[in-house]
Amino acid sequence: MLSIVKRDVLNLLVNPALNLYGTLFPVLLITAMGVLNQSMFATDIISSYDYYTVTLLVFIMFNMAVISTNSFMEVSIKQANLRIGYAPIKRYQIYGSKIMATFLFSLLSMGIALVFMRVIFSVNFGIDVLWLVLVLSAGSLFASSLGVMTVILLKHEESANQLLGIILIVFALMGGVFFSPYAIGETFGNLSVVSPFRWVIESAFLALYDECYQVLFKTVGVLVLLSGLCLMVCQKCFKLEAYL
Amino acid sequence: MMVFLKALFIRILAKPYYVGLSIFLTLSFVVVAFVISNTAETNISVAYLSDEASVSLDAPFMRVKKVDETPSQASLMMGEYDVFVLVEDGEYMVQSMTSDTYVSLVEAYLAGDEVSEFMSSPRPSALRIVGFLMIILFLQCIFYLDLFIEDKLSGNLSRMMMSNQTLSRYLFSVMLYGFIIIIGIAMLVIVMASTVFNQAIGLNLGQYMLVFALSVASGMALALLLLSLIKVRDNAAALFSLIVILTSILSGAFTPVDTNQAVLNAIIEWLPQRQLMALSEALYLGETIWTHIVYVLVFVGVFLMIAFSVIKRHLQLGRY
Repeated sequence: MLSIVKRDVLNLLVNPALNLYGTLFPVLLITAMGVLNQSMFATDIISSYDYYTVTLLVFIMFNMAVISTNSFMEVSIKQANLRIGYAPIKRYQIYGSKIMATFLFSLLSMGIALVFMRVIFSVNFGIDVLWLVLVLSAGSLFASSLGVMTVILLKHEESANQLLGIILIVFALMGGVFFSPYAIGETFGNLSVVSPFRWVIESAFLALYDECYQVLFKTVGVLVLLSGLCLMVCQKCFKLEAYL
Repeated sequence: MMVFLKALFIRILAKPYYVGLSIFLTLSFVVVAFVISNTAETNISVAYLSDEASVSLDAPFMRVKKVDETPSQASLMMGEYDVFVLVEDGEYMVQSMTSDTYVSLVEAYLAGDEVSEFMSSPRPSALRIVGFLMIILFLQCIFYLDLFIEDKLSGNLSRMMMSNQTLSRYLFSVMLYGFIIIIGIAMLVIVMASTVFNQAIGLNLGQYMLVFALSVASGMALALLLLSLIKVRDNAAALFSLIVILTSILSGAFTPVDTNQAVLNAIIEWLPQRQLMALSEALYLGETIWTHIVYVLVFVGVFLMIAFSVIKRHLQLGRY
């Protein structure tokens, strides 16, 4: 399985569009939102760059679901991927390697984006950036599993991408990625708890600025459990013949 | 054209999750818009911690909540509370994670100064509904243009152009079928909200139809342009979503935006979503609407012309 994962990671790394999406895209997005909303964070405690580095990295991490669908069944690599199915390997290794590859790719992208934001914009990550890395990693693992599961269920990469893209945007809007959910009113703020984006963002802020780790551990636990659930669905529903 | 439309409708109905997701999203956003309209608050959210029985914090611009312990920094960052006031021995300590203006405002109020100029009125429900729905109408546009991508990748588009059909007829059909589905679902939801659930919708159905039609036309034009310029559909879709989200937020789809930067505010005025919000406001207030309509139509026309030229060029060069 390791050799398949290596190959899949390499496939992702040589794709310029995906690399831009994972590294340059979050940096540009954070810069744009940071500049636009400077006046909304007019205190010495937190800047708009500090806020949007956390929220937009969460956004990018969840959007790794779209990259995992690409790495699994994108038209140009689908046939090559399916050929692996004829090798004497376990079924889970086919989709598992794509999940693992996307997960590793997202960690690398996140690392680059974090270093860039720290060096260029002197972003303050509160107490310890490792807490942010931990919860983002859990989010990324869930997103990678969710993307592959969606392709397996819908059997088409394009449809899975469209569905995931629109659902992720809706949850991101609700979860405080682009603006505070409470800016629209207390009701909307309370409704936003249904968004996984909100769980991750809130738990990251609690850990980084309040030294409160309970919510973060719970969030990581839930995301890992959900990832496990996705893997179970993948194992039950993945039938190679359906994609030929 | 009817042949194209019929075939497109049959193909999309074979993928029921497309229409299902449209219904679900439109319904959810309308419900949220109504819930918010009915409970909309534009006041500053203030949390206070005090050992005294009562504290004089009842200004009309404040939404005050007494808390038992100091709120987390995270809750202040995420806007659950805009301001935290700690009252100890009759002294006030005012803190905000996001805005010093709020701190000054609350401090001025506590000092007994006049602060009525900071009060703002809630947004009309019609603008909330349009703002919320506009974004979801835009996002669905690229969703339904999937059939265009299918035709492009499978070579069907090239084959169709070999027959006596024209490209403009095909492109118009592929946008029209999505237009009909998106508008149909949105109008159905609004009619249900108005008639079945007796919700105040602010504008009449014709006015909603106009705003929705222009929104979907703008979304279709932008989506087709990106799909014609960017080869990989996923990249075009990701860029489309990002553009729509950012421009919608800047246009004040969810909440009014003022960047405090004259140049940026001027640029924002050029965004089609901003013009659509201005159109809704003009309809609501009974003001003239033609400037906004003409602007959006010019935007749609220019984008469609570029998209059409690019697609035609690609076809001529055999790239599809």
